[in-house]
Amino acid sequence: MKLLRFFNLLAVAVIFSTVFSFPAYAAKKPWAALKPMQQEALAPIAPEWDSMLEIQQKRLLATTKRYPQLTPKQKQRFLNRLTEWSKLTPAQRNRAREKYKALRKVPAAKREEIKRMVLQKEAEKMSAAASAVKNTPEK
Amino acid sequence: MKSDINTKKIKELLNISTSQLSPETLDKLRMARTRTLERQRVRHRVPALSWLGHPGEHHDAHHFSKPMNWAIAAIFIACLIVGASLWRSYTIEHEICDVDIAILTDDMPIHVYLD
Repeated sequence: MKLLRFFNLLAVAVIFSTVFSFPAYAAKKPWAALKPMQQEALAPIAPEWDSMLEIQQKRLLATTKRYPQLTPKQKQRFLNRLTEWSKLTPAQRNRAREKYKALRKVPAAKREEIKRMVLQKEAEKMSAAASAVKNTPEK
Repeated sequence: MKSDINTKKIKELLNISTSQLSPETLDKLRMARTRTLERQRVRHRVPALSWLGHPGEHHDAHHFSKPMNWAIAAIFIACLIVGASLWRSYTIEHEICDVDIAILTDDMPIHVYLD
């Protein structure tokens, strides 16, 4: 009898949690309904926010939960990259995630070496682009 | 006064007095006894899912056929399935969030992960 009561209570609890978790799962939030902290973190994409898909909104909102804990440098990077990130297609974002996860599996020492090489290449590209702009004759 | 009446003696005395009773009275006594025993019959209750650990035992088979118990078991299983799928999607989303925030704040620029 006690076991039956326990199962009944458990079933009711699971039904309630299921029912109440669904609306939060599928809700699309307008920009005006966001909290000040969320608006601060998502400010670069404010104009596009209301036209975004629910799933994209939900994932971006999830990232803002950690925004207050970021260092000022990380916050700056986050804000700078947000527009580029939100403009990618879902397939491109998935590809980036997969590549990131693959890189995370590489041993730390090798990962640092890869990072150093990539950042060096980036710096070279930047300086080449800057010198190209400098050498372009003005019309 | 010392009493030498034992249980055997009592039984004999009762039998003698019973034989002196009329058949009508005996019938009434028999019916009263049956009714009393009916009332004393204890209802055995078994939890709806008690058979889960004992698939071979069917000592209270009529109990499982109760639709209410089957409905509760079905709801419970359905809830478990829904709960498991929700939990799975929650963990996937949590992992995606971790990766997204890492990509957005890491040293490496985003386009490195797109090439």
